[in-house]
Amino acid sequence: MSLRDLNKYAFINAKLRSRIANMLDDKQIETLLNSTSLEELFHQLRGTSYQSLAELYDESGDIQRLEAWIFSRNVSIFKEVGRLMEDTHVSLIAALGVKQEVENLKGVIRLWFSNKIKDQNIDYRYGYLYQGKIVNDIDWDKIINAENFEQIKESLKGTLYYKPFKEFDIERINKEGLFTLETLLDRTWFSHLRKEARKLNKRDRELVEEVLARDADLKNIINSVRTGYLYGVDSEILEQSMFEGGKVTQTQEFETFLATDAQQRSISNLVAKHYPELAKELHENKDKSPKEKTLLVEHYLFADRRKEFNKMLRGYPFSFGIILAYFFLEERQDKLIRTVINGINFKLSAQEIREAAL
Amino acid sequence: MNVFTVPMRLLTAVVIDEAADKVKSRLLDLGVLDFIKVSNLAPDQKEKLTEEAVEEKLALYGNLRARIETLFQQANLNHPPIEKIDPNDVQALNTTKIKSRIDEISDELGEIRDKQKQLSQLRIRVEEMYSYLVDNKLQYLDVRIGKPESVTLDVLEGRLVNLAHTIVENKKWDQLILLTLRRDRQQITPIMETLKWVESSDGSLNKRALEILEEHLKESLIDLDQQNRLIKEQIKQRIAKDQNELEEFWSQLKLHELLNQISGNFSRTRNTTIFSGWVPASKSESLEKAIREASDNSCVIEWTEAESLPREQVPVAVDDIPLLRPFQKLVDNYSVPEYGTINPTPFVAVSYLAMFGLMFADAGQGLIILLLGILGTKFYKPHPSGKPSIISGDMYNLFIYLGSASIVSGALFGSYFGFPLFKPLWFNYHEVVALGEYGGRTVYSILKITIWFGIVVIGTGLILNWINLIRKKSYVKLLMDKNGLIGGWIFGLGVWTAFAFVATGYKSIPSSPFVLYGFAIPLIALLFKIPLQNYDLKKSGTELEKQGIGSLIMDIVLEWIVDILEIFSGFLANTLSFMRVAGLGIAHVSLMTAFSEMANMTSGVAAILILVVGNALVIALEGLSAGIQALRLNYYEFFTKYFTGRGLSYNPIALRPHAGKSN
Repeated sequence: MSLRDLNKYAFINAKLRSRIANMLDDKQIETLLNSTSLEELFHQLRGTSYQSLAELYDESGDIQRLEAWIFSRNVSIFKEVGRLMEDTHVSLIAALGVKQEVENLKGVIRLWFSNKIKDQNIDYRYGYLYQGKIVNDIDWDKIINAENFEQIKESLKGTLYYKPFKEFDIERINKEGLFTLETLLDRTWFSHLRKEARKLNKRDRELVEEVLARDADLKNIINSVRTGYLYGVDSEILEQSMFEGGKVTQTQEFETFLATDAQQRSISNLVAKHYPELAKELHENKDKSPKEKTLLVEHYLFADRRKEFNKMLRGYPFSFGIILAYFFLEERQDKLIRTVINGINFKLSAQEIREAAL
Repeated sequence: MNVFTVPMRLLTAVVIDEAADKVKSRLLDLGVLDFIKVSNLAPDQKEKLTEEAVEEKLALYGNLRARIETLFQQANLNHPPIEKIDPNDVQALNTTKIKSRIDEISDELGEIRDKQKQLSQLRIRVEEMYSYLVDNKLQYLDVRIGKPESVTLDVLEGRLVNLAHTIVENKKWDQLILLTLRRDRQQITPIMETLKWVESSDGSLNKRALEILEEHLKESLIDLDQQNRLIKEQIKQRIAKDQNELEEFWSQLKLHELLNQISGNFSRTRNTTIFSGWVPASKSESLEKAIREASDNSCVIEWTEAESLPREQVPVAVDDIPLLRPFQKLVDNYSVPEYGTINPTPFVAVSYLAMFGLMFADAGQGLIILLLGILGTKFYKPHPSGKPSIISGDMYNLFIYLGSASIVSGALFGSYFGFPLFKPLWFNYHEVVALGEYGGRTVYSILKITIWFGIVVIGTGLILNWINLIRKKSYVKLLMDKNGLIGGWIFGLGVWTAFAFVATGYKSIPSSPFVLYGFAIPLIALLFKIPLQNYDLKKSGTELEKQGIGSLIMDIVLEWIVDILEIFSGFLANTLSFMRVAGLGIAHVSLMTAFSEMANMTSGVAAILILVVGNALVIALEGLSAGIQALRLNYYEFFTKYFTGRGLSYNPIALRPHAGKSN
């Protein structure tokens, strides 16, 4: 343990660990999953960091506002942790926060697309999106009110997103829709994150790079399963949508996956080399529908990720691992709350909510 | 008042099945029995006994009750007081009816919430347009002044209903002002064309129109807030309409939950019900009488004294002394004392107040804390939703005690809001700190007082430990433990030697044989700790792990070294730790002196303001600091001497939270 690590992480480690200790525990989560009404859910959330949801619901009766609140809570968490760190770590946390910005940008662009290209009424929906600063100075009003695609590009000048946007024009957007642009934005974020990670000291760099490599695998496997297997997307598009890093896309099996017809593609073979347990599980469930298999893969990879972060929490305390684990747990918690809120709102059964949430 | 934990007795009762329900109600009414499962007491009889599966029922009742509480919470209502529940008035519970009533109310509330949601969305529209107007982002807005040629305002409103817009009818101009978002132009232009909108030719109206729109939107926002308030009121009224029925449901659900918890602890044979549990000895007679009455004497009751069972299996209750409740909380927060040992609460009360008083010795500031406590207890109301507040009712009670302690110590040291307004009853703390020496006392005198105070606290802790060990009949531990007699002797002799060393001007320690043998004999005696412990264990029938002589000697020597280190370093650290009492006291005086000097540099209102702010800061920061440090000293220096915290807490199934206490 170096004194430098101790200086850097002692405070944040204690702070984040105390926050982690205050997160929803399994018993509370079980109670939330069994809630039969939103009011009951909010009743259970009293005394937790989601208590404001009850007040907000009481004030508006509008669950989309609640989702917006959860998003803004997450943004403020990134900002707050960023303020507690120094130097390169601030840039890395900002780079992690870019994910939120990309999600928000995608949301705004989707609304713009509906309004301008599809001629649909977007009414109040823009009001639910985050309109403050996340990482970059982006004039969200300018984007949602842009007369044409060029104006959007113009408003993103000087940000990380200008480059990917430059590859598109209105004809291409009209032709391909937003999917390609959105995947490119995701990849831009990921690549930016990898670049920022390289600036860290050796211990943190190795740790973050390992997490990112695994994350790339996770995203690429899910992507291959969803788009390449479930929706049968062309090899070329599929290959383009892959995230850099990770091991899976470097394998011969991935080449074979791409070269095979969508109907004949085998996920088991794709993951066999680096994720043999998943391959085994898929083999045992070979008769299940593609959708069920997709869910199985997603659940497995998520559990794998959770295991990895739990390991980090138990391991060396004075590293960037605590921050990554904290963000992961917060994200997971937010997702759970969002899913339960929507599940109850759409009158899903407790079992259906559980499947979607966990 | 019982200085020790309350004596307990174990009840085992067999009643005929017909009387079981009546017995249950009586048990709940008394609320003194901390159940244990009969199958746990007699595992060999488990197969012959049946237990009622109550988990599902409990989950259902708990869920319905939580839903009712949620409704109460929305209407800012409290659930009915638990004291009003009559355990002898058990009615059949129709959960289907309760559920359907709750569903019905929830559905109606859902409809009201839908309206609220529409309002919320309308607000977003208005907010967006208003923000563009206010922020001068007019490029995102379209303002039209004119009117449709052949349709009414209502028709125009109807056609624009799904789009963000606002229309102001300006009678003076005989025109309509229509505000829309420019991004909706593709949808709005065709509507305008269909309705044959005629634009006003007077361009000069534009600027004024913007002002009118801004004003109008501002009013719309206020109006929307007002509508929202009405909706929230509607929600409250809807719930309040069925308040009585919901309260009745809640009470019955709560009652059935508790009765089922009791049932869950009942075991049955073919015709009888058996149950068992712990009860304070003082309550055993009334409990037996109640069971006999409820079962028409068709019962068998057997009592087992706590002494015949292992101490760790007996739950621990302490006398509830209302005056000492704030200190009881401090103890509860730490842990539960072992059965039959000393109840630490009265001792904590004394030591905590003494420590706080020494660290925060100011009669004026103490008075403020006392007044805060009195006002707090007078006006404190728990949150209707049960949300815990930062400062609870018990905390205000504690303020009363802390304030009083500060007043007493302030009078002893002659400090009133940092000024020596009256002659000190003991000595002038301020002058000693300010001048270094005053009236024959120095800062070292203050340190000495706190060290003596520490010695008294640690010594008391040791004596309490010896009493506990005698009651537990742990005689080897009493003699050999580091907090036992040998440890205590070394501590005492260490204190005497240290003061003798100080008395020589830190030059030499006493060289008398008394000191030499005083330390040497007990230290050598400690070598016999493990053999004596092993002998004691063997005598009590515990089988010891076989050990070679070499390994035993190794254990003895290692344990001996650790004990010596622990005794010497531990007691030294524990005693010196009390110097923080002096440290905080001196810091308190220094801060007040600093504020006083700052005030002296100015005059009039500024001086008064500095003194007021200074006192407020000191009360808040030093008060918190002294409170925490006093707690720390109690937990780590005092409790560790005698309070093992290995007790099992006494949790009877009761309607009232204090029904199980022994007084």
